[in-house]
Amino acid sequence: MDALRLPARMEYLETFRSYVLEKAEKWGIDQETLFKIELVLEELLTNVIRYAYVDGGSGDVEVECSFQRDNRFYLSIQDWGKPFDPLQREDPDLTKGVNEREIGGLGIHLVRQMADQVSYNREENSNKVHLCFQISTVCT
Amino acid sequence: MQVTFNKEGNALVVAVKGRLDALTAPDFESQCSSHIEQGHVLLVADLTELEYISSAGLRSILQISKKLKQEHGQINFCCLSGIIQHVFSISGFDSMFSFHDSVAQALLQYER
Repeated sequence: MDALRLPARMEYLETFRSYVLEKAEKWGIDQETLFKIELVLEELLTNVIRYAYVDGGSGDVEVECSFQRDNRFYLSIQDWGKPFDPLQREDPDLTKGVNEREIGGLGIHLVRQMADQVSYNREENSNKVHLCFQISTVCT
Repeated sequence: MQVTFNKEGNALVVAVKGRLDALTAPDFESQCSSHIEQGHVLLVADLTELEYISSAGLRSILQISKKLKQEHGQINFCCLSGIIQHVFSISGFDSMFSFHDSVAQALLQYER
């Protein structure tokens, strides 16, 4: 697996985005799945950037991706900040009206909806989220 | 991201081009807010050229909408592409707002 590790700061969002999308495009992944990958990546990275290191200053985030012969695109995002399991987060109430709707919580909801598989593990003081996207069409 | 504002009758058409993400959404929100503060409270968001939206973009839309409600205004949407429509739908936005196939249809809602 290829990986890119950089400080968890907003200014590197674009670098991570190009890193993953260039690979995914090279592997011929269709536009719809590219959109989903990009969305999931942004949601998880901004989460790490905003919340992972709030107590202890700054730290890194590492993104890995690979495309397997089983037509699956694998993405993982790791940080060394405070424990956060996105799978434990409660979904926002999507039935509320404009006035009642809370502003937060949508990002993780989108991650769970867009990726075909999401798993989380806390290992050696780090959070690692693994994601898998089933590719239906590979453009050649 | 590029936003163009066009006054059409009593409504303001807001055409968004490009990406509404964590980097661009704050700018989109503040541009819309300043128009709302100038008294434009009936908005049509024309999303024909919107290529990408994340939760940051959705949050900015929700904030704008909350602000409009306070001013007794409203926002409705038109011309969403398939994947953008999908993001709106799984976020529960399809039950909060009205969606149309063209700017003209969206404007009809505001005709007195």
